[in-house]
Amino acid sequence: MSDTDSAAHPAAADSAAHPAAAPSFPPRTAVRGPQAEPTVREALLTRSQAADHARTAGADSDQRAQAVRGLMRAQLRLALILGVGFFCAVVLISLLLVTTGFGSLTLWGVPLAWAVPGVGFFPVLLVLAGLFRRRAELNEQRWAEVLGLSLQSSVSTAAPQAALKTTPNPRPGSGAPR
Amino acid sequence: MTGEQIAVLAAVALVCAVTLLLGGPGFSRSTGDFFVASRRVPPWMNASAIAGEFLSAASFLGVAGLILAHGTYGLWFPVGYTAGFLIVLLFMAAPLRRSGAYTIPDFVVLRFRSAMMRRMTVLVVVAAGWLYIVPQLHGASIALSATGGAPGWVGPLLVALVVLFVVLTGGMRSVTLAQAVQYWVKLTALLVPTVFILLQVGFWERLELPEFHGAWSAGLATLGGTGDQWGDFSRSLSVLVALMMGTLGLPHVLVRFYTNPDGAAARRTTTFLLGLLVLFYLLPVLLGVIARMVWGTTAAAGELAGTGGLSHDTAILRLPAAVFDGLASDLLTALIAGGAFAAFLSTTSGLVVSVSGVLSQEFFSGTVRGFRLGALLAITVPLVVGSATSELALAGAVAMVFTFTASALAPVMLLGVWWRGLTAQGAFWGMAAGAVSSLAAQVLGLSLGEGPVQDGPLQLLVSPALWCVPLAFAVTVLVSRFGAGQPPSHTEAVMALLHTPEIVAARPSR
Repeated sequence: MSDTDSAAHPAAADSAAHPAAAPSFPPRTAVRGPQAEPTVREALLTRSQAADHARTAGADSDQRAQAVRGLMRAQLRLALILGVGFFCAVVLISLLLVTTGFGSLTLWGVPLAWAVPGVGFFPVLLVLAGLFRRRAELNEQRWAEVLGLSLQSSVSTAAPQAALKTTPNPRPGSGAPR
Repeated sequence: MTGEQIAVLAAVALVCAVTLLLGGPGFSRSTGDFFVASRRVPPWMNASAIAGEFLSAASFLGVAGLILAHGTYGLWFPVGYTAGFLIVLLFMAAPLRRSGAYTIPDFVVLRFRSAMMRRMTVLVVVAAGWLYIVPQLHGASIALSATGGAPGWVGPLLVALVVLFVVLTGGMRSVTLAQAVQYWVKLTALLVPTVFILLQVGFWERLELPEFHGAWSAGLATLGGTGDQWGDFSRSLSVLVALMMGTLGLPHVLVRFYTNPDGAAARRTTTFLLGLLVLFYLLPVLLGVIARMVWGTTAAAGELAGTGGLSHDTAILRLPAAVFDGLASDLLTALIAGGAFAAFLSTTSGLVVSVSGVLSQEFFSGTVRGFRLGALLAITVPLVVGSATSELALAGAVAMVFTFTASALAPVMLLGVWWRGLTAQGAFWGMAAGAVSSLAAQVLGLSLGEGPVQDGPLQLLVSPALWCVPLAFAVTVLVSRFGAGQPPSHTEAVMALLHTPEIVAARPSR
């Protein structure tokens, strides 16, 4: 993308600077779209996202790659612990209900074999979900701190003040060149 | 026409009218509006919409029916459905949103850059969508014929027409609003009858209940339960695996994650969503248990079975008439039927949107016109298939679709998001192995046995998630490791895109 831009601009400047040289047009060429496959970034990011990536990518790509790996590992570990843990707990508890007399104990007249799968797992699911969300956002916060970035805070409640304090806030309309 | 029939038909007409009104010619402008509402949907609304879309005929009618028929086995369905979204939250929500792709095949292209993989995924997604629409249409058929006295073809046709109108004129933006409303409609439609029935059974005591313990004995023999605890256990486990993993591969649910503004919002949406699902599922569980108390005796069960082939799935619809009489029964039945119709409409429209999105991007160059053509295809095929196939229990049929997506899509999606070593070949063969094994096993099991609840070796065929899902994982990993292919060269960049949060600005260096 940037290649075609830099190739096009000098030509445009030339023709603007020398209107008298108009008769000697270069031979016409058919203009087609970029023939190279777009990169993943070009294809998928919005313009502002692409700018963000471009701004931060050059800085220290080795450190960046390291940080991404670290973040992924932390998130995967968190997800596996909670997910596999939940599944194993469910299997163990239902085994317990089936094999022992535990299932026929009653709680307010309801046997545990009914009460546990009927309502018992729901609160656990909610707690795990809330826990995961908080921890995952903390992991991302840590990643951002390592790279000296501040996260988009569309909904994240984690430390919005920190982002405000450290981000230079350009006045509206100043067009802040970055 | 009885009072009940008039009330039911009025309620169904009202639900259809509201859906048409909300989904009518709206504000959508661009292709992006059609597909994912231009990503401007706030989390609470998105969560309501996902819940509205997800709570299908199986949840609304099927869960209580299974509890009535098979005892504690039915209790695992709500747990599995909800836990499926825990897995989505843990492994998929934020990365999927950050991938920026519209559909599951788009994600696959981003990850593998392979036309063959894309074709394969399109096939699987469209098949899953079609298979999932069929039980919704069946549900509409039995609901209208059991309570409204209409012929069996009226319900499916009505659902098809309403959904087609909404999707063709509004696209996903209006569908999002309509879906969000549908969740609350469904919740109310079960909550109000539950409260009244509980009051009647528990306090007003006008009903002679059979022996209370009858409700708790797991699996009444006459109703198909076996009393075999180990069989129950492994069957429940298989359902749990299928539902937990299968949610990852539901095309109409995953497409909703693209309508979140960013990854953090996608996580928040999913957390809200778990709360909404838990709130809802308490109701069918309660109603199922009450239905067991009412029809717990063998004689009552025989009487219920005598009223029509799909008796268990209509249990909730018949409950008010068994507990109340007169006007109260008519009104409550109408409320439940209206809610059930909301369930059929919302799930079907979600499925139609996602299937037609995939179809139009693959075959009709992704234009609005292609989307409309795709929508037409997405609903007519199940309509034809549904009228030809035999009738299964709703929750059982939906569990079979979950088994299919859990085997075919979940391993590739999970490993695609989290494993750098995955190759296009590995993904292809894993998806093929999962799709073929789960489909073949279930078709074989159904043709050999009589229903989705079987014992012994047949059970491994009828509910095969326990071996199909690990098989698909194993094939994917082994072919990736030892096959000829290499992981795609851009894997590193894609992983960074999926897993790093959205950035606002670089901080000044300290």
